[in-house]
Amino acid sequence: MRSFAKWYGLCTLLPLSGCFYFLPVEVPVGNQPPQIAVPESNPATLTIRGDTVTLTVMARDPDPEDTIEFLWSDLDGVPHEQHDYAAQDGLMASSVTVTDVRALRSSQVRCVVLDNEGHTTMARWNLVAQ
Amino acid sequence: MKAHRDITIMLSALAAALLGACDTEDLAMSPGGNPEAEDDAGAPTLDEAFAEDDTLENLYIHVVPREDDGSMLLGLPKTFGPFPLGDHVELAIPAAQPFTGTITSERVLTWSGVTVPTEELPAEGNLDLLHVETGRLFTYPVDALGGFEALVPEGAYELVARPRSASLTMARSMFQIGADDHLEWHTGLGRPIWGRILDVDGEPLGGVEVYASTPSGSRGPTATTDDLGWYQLRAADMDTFQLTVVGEAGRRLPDLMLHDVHLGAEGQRLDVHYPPTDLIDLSLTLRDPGGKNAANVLVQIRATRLDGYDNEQVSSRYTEELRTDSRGTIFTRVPAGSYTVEVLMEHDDPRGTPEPFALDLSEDTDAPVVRIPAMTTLEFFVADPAGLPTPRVVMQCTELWGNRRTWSTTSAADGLVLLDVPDQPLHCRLTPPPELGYATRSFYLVDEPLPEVVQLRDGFPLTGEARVVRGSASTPVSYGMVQVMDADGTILAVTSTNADGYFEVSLLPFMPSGSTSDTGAP
Repeated sequence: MRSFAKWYGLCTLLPLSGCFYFLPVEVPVGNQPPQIAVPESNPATLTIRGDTVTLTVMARDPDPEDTIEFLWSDLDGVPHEQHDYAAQDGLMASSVTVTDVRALRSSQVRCVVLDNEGHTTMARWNLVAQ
Repeated sequence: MKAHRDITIMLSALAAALLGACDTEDLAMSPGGNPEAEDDAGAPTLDEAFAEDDTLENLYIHVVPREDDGSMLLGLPKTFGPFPLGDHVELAIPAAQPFTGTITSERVLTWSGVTVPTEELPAEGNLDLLHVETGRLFTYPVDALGGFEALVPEGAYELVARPRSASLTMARSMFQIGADDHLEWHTGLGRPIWGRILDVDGEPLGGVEVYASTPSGSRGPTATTDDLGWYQLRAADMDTFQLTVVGEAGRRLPDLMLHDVHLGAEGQRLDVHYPPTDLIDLSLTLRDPGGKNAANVLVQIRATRLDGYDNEQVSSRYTEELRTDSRGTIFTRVPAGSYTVEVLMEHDDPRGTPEPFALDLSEDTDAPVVRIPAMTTLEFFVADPAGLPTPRVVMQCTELWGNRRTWSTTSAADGLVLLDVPDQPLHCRLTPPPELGYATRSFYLVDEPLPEVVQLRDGFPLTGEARVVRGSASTPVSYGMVQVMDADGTILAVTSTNADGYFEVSLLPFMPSGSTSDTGAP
């Protein structure tokens, strides 16, 4: 940058017909995957207290035109309630309450955050029995 | 293309506004089969309702703090209210308190009809803690040494010790849990609940499971009848209880529940004699949306009444779950009575769920054929009150029956919502980003199609802050879930707190009871 300034200053002082220079090359930024804001750690560790557990993932997509979906594939066949909603701070959220933790097949639960361009990010929780 | 869509949506919104197609009433679909909603044609519109009563009552807020924040000030989900719309509400969630202790019981030995207490033993199993004020139930394990470590809000509780072994005593007690409480609980020998289980011919039924429950629903240990049909349980501090005899689908025996049994000073003998009953053939066939056999689909058959079983003291429960075979058929034999048939589709199954239906099986009936609904695509634009496209609006639809599966998406930059859902009644919710100030729309999708443009309306703000408090210290409920409900428990809106525990949500006013409403319960 400093050498460019020297060249440009020298060029304007000298009786040259013109000063040409190169514009910085713009690197096109491609579509980006959603970014998870909550949980802050990945995987997150969660201690189960009682028969139910609620997991919440919040995410935003850096591309403002993208839509987001949340897929809880580990909860197929597991009784649960799911709420997808617009959260505060411009975040999209999905909360699931597993109504009977004994029905879980694994101590790990995953949520895939998917945008409409097919980019994904995954949130994971390791569930620990108390 | 985007500009074209923008122009299209604005023109559509304008045309819809002129024609009244985007008016609230077009979105206010009455739930299927709700005669009140259909009969009350003279009900006021939402605007009229609000003009009549701009103070909304019976608004409840359910806060679900995150469970993975690791804070010692962990709070438990709590419902607050009622609140009027427009208020700023301060929601204080009591921090959960550690509650520890040990539970011991006395094992009894029955020998030649004589019951002898032996020794004090740990009551390994479970401890139920029923919060009296809210009715919320917490269950914690009791370990092999009789120890437990619970984390619950302060308050008055009904404690029920539920040992795993039927030879130990199920006990009930009231306890006021304060800060860092500890309880040493010796339940003692208790009093016996015993009797004999006989089949329809009067023969003893061996290997049958029997358990007692408290009136609040806590289920005690399970005893198994011996070869002569005898069982024995023990209970302490329970004036009344319910005894359940667990039936066997293989022997076509339903569960029997004996209600409001009094536990006398010397205990209580309860014999159960299964009444004779007819067995009825039941078959049904499932077809997928294309008319082909729907194989490997789970079907639940649940009796609502069984011939010869139910009276004031005794009720019955009979349930079978079967999967359809390669021809899409289930076949079984069940006790005569009235049944509900419900199809339970897997969560990732790309087909709808047939509506549950009733079957009277007092005699053999023709095998019904049930068609699984196809999927359909909801396609509409979301526009703000000025008719401009609104991105980042969450659309979620939930089944009204079956596994109550959900489907959701968010509106694109041009306001377009594309969502594949089953072609069946659904409860849907449109949640705009809170910072826009538009109201959440909650409605039933029954037969009427959605308009091409769904226009959001300015909402009435409800703001609040949720904090977990312990003594004089408090900490915000950061990024917890906030549900706003009506008095019936219907969720009107869902949002979250931010990092500081603050939340904001916009709502439309309630409708008077019985009117066509986009927020009413089914």
